[in-house]
Amino acid sequence: MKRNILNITLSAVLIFVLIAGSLLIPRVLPQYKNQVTAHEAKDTARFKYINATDTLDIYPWDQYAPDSYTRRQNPMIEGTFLEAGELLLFHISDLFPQFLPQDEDIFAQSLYTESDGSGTLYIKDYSYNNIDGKSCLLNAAYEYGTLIYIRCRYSAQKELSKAQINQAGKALTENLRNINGWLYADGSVYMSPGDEFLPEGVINGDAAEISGLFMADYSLITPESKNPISSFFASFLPLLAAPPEYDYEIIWKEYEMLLTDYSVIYYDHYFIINVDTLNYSDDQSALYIFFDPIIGQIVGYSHHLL
Amino acid sequence: MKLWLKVFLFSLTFMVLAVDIVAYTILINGFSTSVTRETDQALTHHASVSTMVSGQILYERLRQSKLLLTFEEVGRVLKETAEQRRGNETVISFYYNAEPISGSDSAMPNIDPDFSREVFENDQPYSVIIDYNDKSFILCGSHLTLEGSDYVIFTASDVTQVYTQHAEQLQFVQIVSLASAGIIATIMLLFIFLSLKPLSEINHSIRRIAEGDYSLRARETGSQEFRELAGNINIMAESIEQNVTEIQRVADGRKRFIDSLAHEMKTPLTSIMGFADILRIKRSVTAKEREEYGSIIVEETKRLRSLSGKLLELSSARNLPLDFCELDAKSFFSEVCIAAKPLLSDKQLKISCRIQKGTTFRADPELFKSLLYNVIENAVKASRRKQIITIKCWHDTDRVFFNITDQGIGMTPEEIENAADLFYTNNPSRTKQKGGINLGIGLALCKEIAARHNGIMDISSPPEGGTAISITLLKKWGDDNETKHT
Repeated sequence: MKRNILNITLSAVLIFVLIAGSLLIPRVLPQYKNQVTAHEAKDTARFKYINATDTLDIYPWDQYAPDSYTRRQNPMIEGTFLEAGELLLFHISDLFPQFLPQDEDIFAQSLYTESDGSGTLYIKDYSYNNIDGKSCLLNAAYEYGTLIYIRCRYSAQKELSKAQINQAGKALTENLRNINGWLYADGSVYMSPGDEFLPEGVINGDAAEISGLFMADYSLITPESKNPISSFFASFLPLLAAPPEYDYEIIWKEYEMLLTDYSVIYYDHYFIINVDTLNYSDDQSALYIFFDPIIGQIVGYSHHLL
Repeated sequence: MKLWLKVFLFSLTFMVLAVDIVAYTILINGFSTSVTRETDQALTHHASVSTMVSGQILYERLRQSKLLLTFEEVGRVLKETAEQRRGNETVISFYYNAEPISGSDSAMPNIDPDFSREVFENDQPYSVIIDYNDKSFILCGSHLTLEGSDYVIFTASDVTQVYTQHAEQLQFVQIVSLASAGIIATIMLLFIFLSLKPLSEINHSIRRIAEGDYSLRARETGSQEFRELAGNINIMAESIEQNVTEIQRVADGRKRFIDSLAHEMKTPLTSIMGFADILRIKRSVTAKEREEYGSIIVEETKRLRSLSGKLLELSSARNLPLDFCELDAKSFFSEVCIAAKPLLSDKQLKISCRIQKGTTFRADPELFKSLLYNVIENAVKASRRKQIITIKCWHDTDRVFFNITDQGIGMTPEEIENAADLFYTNNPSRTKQKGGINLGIGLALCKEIAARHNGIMDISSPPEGGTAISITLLKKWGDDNETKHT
């Protein structure tokens, strides 16, 4: 009898423990609350599809006043027209060769400027045939020996769906991500003692020749790169550095670019990429690059220097 | 504790633990995956919102044709963005120099100081899950550079649904685990109870067998193991029963033998003592009286000697080495009949002896003669006056047959069954007839001698009367007795 009571008691206790344990288990399960967790930055497509309600006048077209512009037959200005036309042709052949015109002299004839003859030279929606015979449109702006705006396009523009734009935006973001970092212009530069970006073999304090275009890790990028962004910059930065009147040190400082931060929006058939540039001279500048998602190439830029 | 109770408790414990471990493990994994997925989605959404804000700023800059927007203009865009997001699943909040710039939003959870400090002091994105207004939120925070200035953006994504779902799943698992464990344990309890039922019956049977009911047999039911167990117990019980019966039979026989032996020895000893005492105390004994008393003493002494001789003969038949030789049946039986003649005279009996011509057999002459003499002696004792004892002997290819038949009182089946037992003496009429001695030793001795000759002895008694003793010997068999009679 005593043993039976003990057995029953033991059984009851065991069953109670099992039921209670089963009911109490959820209290010790992880809830993942109030745990501060660090994460790697998300590699999301960093572009914004803008359903623009306003017309965007990208520099220097915000200052463009067509009514007051004319093509002037002024011997002093004519030289500037020719010089600007040459530079425009030079840039197109280097940066956007698929848009090279059949007649290389046409650009100088189509430039116009303000009626008083000072300021910026413009060429707007200039239609011509490229070397393949395709109809193209050119918009460009020239100011004080520099091309501050150039944008080439084919006359016939295809409309992309939103899905296609998103897909192209992701591919573009990926290409941007692959070349993020510092970019260095070609040329002789003065390296400061202790410069953290001093390439191997360069003596501190000496002027040194640096050939090619390098990223932060000194890997060489070339115009033949498969990445259209790399390819563009490999041609673009040496072009900016080319004018002999520029001091190399200034060129170095001005055109050193930081591609770690950029913004992209889609507007009027193009991706507009805003690349943050580094300003050693405290000058403000903005670089906008136009990327054509259909041909998969950069087809222009706007470089705003103050 | 009873076995079934132990098994039940063990099953219940095992089932509850197994169900709980499996269910909660699956649940934890599922919940962890859900939380990780939600956090990932929140971070992706957070990054997407940051991109959207960057794009918004860029768009605003291009729209205003400015190189850079001022701090106030950026603040206005951020406020507008935060306003537009109100009512959405994800709430946004912007900070500049650790101060909110997008105004207070009641939907935005209070940001924990530890969390905000981590976000402000480090470059990488951070997340934390918090409860706010009876809801659960994943709070994400990261830096955002706009127009050259560093901002911090916080986004709060509502994940209440995930936690509600998890709580419901936990409740469901609790109910299901307890219910299923109870049901399964009960099923197992019934199954075990039914499975062990034959064991209880077997246990009961063993107890009764142990108490002496050797005729009881366990019922062979249940699973194969229990059937085998019950079968083996039955075999054991049967064996015990046989042994007990045999022991009982032997014990009974011995008791009867001792009783008879005591009686048989007491009678002549009493006579011897009595007549010897008369001779000792009587002063004058006539010659006639002395002869009479002396004869009685001699006869009784002969009886005692015969009794001891039979016992010695039986012992010899069992233990002495035999001297086998080939015997001719005809001459052998002639000798036996001559030797048995004195036995026949009292009752005027006759022996009819029919021997097949050319019958020979292999035997120890003295021992086999003793066998036949004993059989004939028994036949004489069983016969009435002037009856005939028939002896037949014939052979076939392999065997030799002997048959001694009397016309006497015959034997009951029980007597036939026990007649060859060593100490069996059941019928007083057969034990002592006219001074003859039969203490159940004769036929036992005959059977033993036949066995030593690799032969068998059968006793039969037809209903019309008389007893037939048949002895069959093999014609050829080795001295080492390897060849057995079939």
